[in-house]
Amino acid sequence: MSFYRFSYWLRGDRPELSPDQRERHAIETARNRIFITGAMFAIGFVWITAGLVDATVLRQGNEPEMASGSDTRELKTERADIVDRNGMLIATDLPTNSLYADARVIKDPVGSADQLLTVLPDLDRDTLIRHLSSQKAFVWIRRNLTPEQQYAVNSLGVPGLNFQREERRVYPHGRLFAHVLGFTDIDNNGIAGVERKFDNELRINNGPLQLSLDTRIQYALEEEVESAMKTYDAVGATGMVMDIYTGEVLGMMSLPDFDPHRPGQAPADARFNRATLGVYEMGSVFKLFNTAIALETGTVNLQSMYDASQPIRVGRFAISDYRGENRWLSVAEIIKYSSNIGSARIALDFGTETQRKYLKKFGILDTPRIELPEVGSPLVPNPWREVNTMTISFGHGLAVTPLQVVSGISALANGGILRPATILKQDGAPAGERVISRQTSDKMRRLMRLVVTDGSGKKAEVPGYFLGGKTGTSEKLVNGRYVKNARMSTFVAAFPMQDPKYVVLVTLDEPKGTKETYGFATAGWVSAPAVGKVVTRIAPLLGIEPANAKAPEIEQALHIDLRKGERKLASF
Amino acid sequence: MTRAMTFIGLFLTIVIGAGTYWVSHEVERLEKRYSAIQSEILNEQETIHVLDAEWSYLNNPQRIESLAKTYLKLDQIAPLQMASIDDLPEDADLHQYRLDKFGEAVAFLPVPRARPDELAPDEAAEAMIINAPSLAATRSDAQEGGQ
Repeated sequence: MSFYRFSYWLRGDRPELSPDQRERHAIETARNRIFITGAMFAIGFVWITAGLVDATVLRQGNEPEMASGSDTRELKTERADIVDRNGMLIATDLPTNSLYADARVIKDPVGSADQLLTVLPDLDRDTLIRHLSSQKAFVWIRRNLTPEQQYAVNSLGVPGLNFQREERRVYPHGRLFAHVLGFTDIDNNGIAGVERKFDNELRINNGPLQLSLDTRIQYALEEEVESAMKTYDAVGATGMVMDIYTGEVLGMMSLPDFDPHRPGQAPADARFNRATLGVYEMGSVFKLFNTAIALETGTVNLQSMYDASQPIRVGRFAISDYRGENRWLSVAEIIKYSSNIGSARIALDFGTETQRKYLKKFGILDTPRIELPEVGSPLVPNPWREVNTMTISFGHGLAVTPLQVVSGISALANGGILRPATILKQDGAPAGERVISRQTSDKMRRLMRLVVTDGSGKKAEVPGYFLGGKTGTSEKLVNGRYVKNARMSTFVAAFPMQDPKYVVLVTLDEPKGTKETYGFATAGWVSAPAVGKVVTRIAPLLGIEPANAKAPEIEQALHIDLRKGERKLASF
Repeated sequence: MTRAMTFIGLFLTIVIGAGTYWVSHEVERLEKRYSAIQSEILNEQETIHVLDAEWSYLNNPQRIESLAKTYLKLDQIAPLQMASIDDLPEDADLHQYRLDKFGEAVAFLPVPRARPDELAPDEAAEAMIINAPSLAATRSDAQEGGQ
């Protein structure tokens, strides 16, 4: 019964009514139903329209930026570029093609090998045939072809020979930065120099790595040192330029050098970085440290007198002067005439402990810190006896890297603050550590200038740039004995001395005297002129204005009183 | 009425259909163009990269030096050849007059300093500094003296 009624309701029919009323009722029900359905659709359409208007007009008027982000591709090389301090590219990756063979496809290994040899004649025939008949899916034939070679191999049309696109490290300036940059192996892994030290960073490739070196300064340094090395027939040489206020190395080179594209062809000696890895006795350059320690600890002033009339005998050693004055000398004169006897006596006055403490503060006794893997540790005497104290006062018996000397001299000249040496470009001066007082540094500047105006460094003088420095000539130790005619001749200078900004070092290994130097191969004759030439070339690049020597403020800054003071009895 | 509505509906359907087709076709075309441009950009970047390396290679100081030696009659700058803006005469000097040997008033020009190569290095070093007081300075000194 109930189902019977429901089916009538569904049809909108009322069987209990009269036929006339039934008809009207049915029509009314149908109308209502159409109206409700229509209203439902209307609501739906309004809803969609509102949604559209909201999405296109209200919420985001313009088109969403689909193009940005996800699929914009950027060229990313395998290793990051390395640039100098001015942004000049000094190491980069360039695409090349390498030849490999799919030996499974090669039908005639001997014939293919002979064909290949017509194009790449320096391949080894037997190895090539072995590789081509190996049935391996991948064998390298030759890496990094030139475009001509690639074209030639391609035109042979040998099936199974394919090219693999690779990247190769390229150094646009060739040998110029060889020792600093180092080199990479065939798979582009850094295995020396900056390439090795920053291997991970270069691989991650977040933009180029900027060094503190300057291509122009590096070239001037390289050229002048190389010409000095040739002139004096030296076996090796090293040169460095440092900004004394930031510790940035602006130029660093070592000779003989090598082609970083073919490091394997160079002898091991050429790959040796003399500037940071080699340790040498630096000779009289150390007299500057010695005098600075004495002035700083107050055991002497510039007018203190020391007896340099006779050699000092200590056991079987005798400390004598090279072309000595053989008289009492003031501290300033000890530097001017580079007196070993005087320096030894000064050192005895402040003693072994003070010497060791200060040399440590100058960073002379520890392995230097610089962003290169090739760093040498100094050879420090152990035990440190009184005789060592005396010989170290004039730079013998303690072998250090040229880098440490440059850092130490920078600290002497910059007002007394030692800053770590770096080959990365710095923003402003990094934190340093005070080693000597400003007053002592000021006196050291005058003494360094004195060496160039009146002492052994006269040949380094460049009018207008006020170099100040110190010569150092040491005999080389060969099998534990000093060899008379094998010398290390070093000149280290700061400029301009009234307000020093840069330090330059040039060391020649085993220079020989020429007719022009009257046979002398000491630092004053061979290294000092090279430093002078380097400064002449780099000072304009560094924006240093030449000044007049007669300007009162410069005379005042560099004046030194050479009057003889009271005789002071030496301690023995 | 119903008939008009039908035609309008039919018309709109055709227009919207054609429009949608055109838009989707256009999107496809632009996407192709986009990826073509992308790879073109990549190619250009690679070319720029290679040219950068070449630029650096061509800027090698040794090469520039040898080119300069071949094509330019220039020598390395000596310290004596440099002067600063302070070495130039002051503005006031330019409005001064002096009498030449015929009694004519001519503009004051500072005496040119000697060429460095005509002097020994020491003299040249001194000559590069113009230390004679300017006329204006002497005149004001004299006035102060008078008072």
